[in-house]
Amino acid sequence: MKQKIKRLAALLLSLTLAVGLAAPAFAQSTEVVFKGQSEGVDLGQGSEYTATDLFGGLKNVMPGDTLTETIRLRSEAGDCDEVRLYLRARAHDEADNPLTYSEAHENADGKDQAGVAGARDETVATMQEFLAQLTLRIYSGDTLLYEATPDQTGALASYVPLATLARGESCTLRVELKVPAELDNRFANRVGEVDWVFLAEGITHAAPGGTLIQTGQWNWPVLVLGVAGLALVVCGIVLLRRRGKDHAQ
Amino acid sequence: MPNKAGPVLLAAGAALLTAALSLFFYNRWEDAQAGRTAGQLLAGVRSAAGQQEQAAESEAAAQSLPGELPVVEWQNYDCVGTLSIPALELELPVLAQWDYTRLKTAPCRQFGSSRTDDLVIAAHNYQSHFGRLNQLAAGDTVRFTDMDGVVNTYTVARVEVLAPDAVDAVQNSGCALVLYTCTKGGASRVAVFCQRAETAPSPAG
Repeated sequence: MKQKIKRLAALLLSLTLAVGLAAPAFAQSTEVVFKGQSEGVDLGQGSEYTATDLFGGLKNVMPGDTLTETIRLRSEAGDCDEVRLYLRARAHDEADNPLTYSEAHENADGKDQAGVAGARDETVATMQEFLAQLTLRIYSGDTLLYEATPDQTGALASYVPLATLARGESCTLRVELKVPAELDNRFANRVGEVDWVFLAEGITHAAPGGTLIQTGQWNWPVLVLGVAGLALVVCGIVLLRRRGKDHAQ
Repeated sequence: MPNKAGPVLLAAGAALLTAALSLFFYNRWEDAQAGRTAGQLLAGVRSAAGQQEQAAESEAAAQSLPGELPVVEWQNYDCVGTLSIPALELELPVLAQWDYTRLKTAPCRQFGSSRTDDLVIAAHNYQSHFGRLNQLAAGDTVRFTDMDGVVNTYTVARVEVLAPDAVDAVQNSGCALVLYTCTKGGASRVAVFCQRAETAPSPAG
């Protein structure tokens, strides 16, 4: 069956972690809805840290916590038959992919340690040091996609296929974060940010009855024109000769 | 009137013969032009591929999808690889997407990827492109080298003439590589179905 595949959206979403002291963290779930090429993606609300934060439940985590959050990916795309989803992680880099979380919120919720307006506490280096203490597991359904410290792109360095969804179908990503019990006060109030890129491809099944590409030069008219021209020339010569004979008689 | 019929027919015949000759020579010129353009593109793409930075390659690799072929751009042409057919002494670049303008330059990928063993490449029936495809026979070798330098070696399994609406026969042939073009008259298609040779894909040496 002929298929037409078009990239619908490459969506950069973040997983923002914040280590707190007292407030408990709860398992939560988030839904990302792919609405198609024209309408784009409905992300939900994000968090105070970033507008694209999927992980409201991974804030104020405590040493020893194991937290789970689920993300439901649903297709409501009306301009294609199916949506094929992929996921990859994108490493932070001060120049190419700087941190995006809100410094203002870091300050407001007491996570800011230096209290310097306009300057985040975290740099890519300090954040990676913090993230290297944690363990992140990502399951697509029951399949373990990723298991590493979240500072590493690991198995998600390249796009990993998640699911192909028809309109109305959904799949679930389960994200499990483990904070070691021995995490010391040096990491209190630290914020971590992990970037994920979701890629949605819209697949349209073409109606049967298409044709293969017309890859021919116009060779056939050469023959047709040539034969017709030759025939006319011959007829013309015959008529002229006949006229010549008539004149002679 | 009968007196004038002879000269009129002669003139009309001469005009048609001139048109036929003009079209013939235009087709030959277009064919030669397509061969030159494809040759320049082949050299340019090879040079562009060689100049790619390692970092750029790894970022592109990260962003590419499983099965998606890497693309190298040269003078606004997106190229996915080169095709070599030793039996026809033919070496051509392959463009990532097809349209009728691109087809005048080089063969184009219509469907699939060498990484998912469902690659379909179409080209014009210029002698410098796929015009001699019908001369291939079962057992001939065809090589497709992608822009990462991965050499995919295929063996011709069969050559068939297909109806223009045989899309499914080409796209879902079960063969790792299909090459096709129009027959001389343009009414049908010559398709070459290839299977992978015994050797696995290997980096170019």
